Amino acid sequence: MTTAHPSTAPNQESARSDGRGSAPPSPPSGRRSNRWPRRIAITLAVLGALACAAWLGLRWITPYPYSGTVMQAPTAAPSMDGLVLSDGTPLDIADFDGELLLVYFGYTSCPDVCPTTLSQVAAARRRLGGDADRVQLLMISIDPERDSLDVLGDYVTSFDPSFIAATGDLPDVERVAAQYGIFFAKGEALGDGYAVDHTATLMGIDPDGHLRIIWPAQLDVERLAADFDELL
Amino acid sequence: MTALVACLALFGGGCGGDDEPALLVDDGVAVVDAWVRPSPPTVDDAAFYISLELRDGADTALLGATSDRCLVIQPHATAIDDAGVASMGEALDEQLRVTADHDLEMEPNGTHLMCLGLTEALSEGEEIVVTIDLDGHDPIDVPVSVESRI
Repeated sequence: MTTAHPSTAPNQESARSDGRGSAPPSPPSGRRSNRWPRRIAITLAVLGALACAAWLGLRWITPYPYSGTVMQAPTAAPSMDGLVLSDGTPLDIADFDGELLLVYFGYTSCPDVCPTTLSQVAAARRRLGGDADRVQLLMISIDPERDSLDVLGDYVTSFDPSFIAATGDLPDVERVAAQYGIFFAKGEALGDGYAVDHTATLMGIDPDGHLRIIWPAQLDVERLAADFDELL
Repeated sequence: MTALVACLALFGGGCGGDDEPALLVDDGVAVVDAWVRPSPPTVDDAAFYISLELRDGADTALLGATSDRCLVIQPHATAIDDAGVASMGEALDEQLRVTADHDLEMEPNGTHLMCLGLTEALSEGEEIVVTIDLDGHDPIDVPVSVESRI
């Protein structure tokens, strides 16, 4: 019995040595193969996290792509003193601090461009849900000769009950329009009336009272709604 | 009969018999869209948008339109320049052509039929008739839907 150990021990040692070098025992091999799904999952999770971080980083450093022209150095919106709201109260744009004030210069006899813009703003505003209460459309009539205050109020609220309108004596309207870079002039005769050529852009005054953005007449409702959301 | 054959050939049984026809075809000219916005109160004018395409047949052009809902209808076009200034005037003849290579597409801020003097307000959901006059065609009654489209 005592000689059995010296004779068998080297054999057993050799067998273990051979086993490591050529054919690994089955239990360790099984653990290694079971690790691959976990490693793949971890790798995918890490890659996913990196992709999310990269996307967030890009979003942070890339300016939001507004559909309008953004002022690089926003300044306080010019006063509209002298104009009167359709309910007869003087217009003071400071009353709209904390809201996104959308300003559009138009007129009620305008059959194409003005109703198109007002319809699109109304649609974009509806897409905001609860935040819509902080978006206020103000139409300034550039045709005070025909647009009485009563006419103006009925006109704009037919597009959205929240819309408001203002106008004033022609010199006041001309002064305010000029401060906002708006051109207008009587155009072609239409039946007994006339058209008014006018700058048909939409302007946005941010909640801090700064003139921030000018949208072109051709609006995309989805992008406009996204712009409103961003500006709020 | 020609119109009916053309209509069936082009659109199968989907036109002519619908309750709310989306289009009609007259001697190879298809009316592919026809709508107008509801008129705001106190407003006497409106813009009709009626789009035409030539499906077969001879080139033609829109000469004019009438409706018992308007005192006068004139083809007009809005133009917006690079400064964003919109102006409106009578449409040019070339804008009113309906040919194989030129559809007459009417749309907001573009070509439209200007109704001067509504005889009655236009209400959401109603359908009115505008009769269009195409060169070489008999007058065509077009059903125009009144809808708040954006």
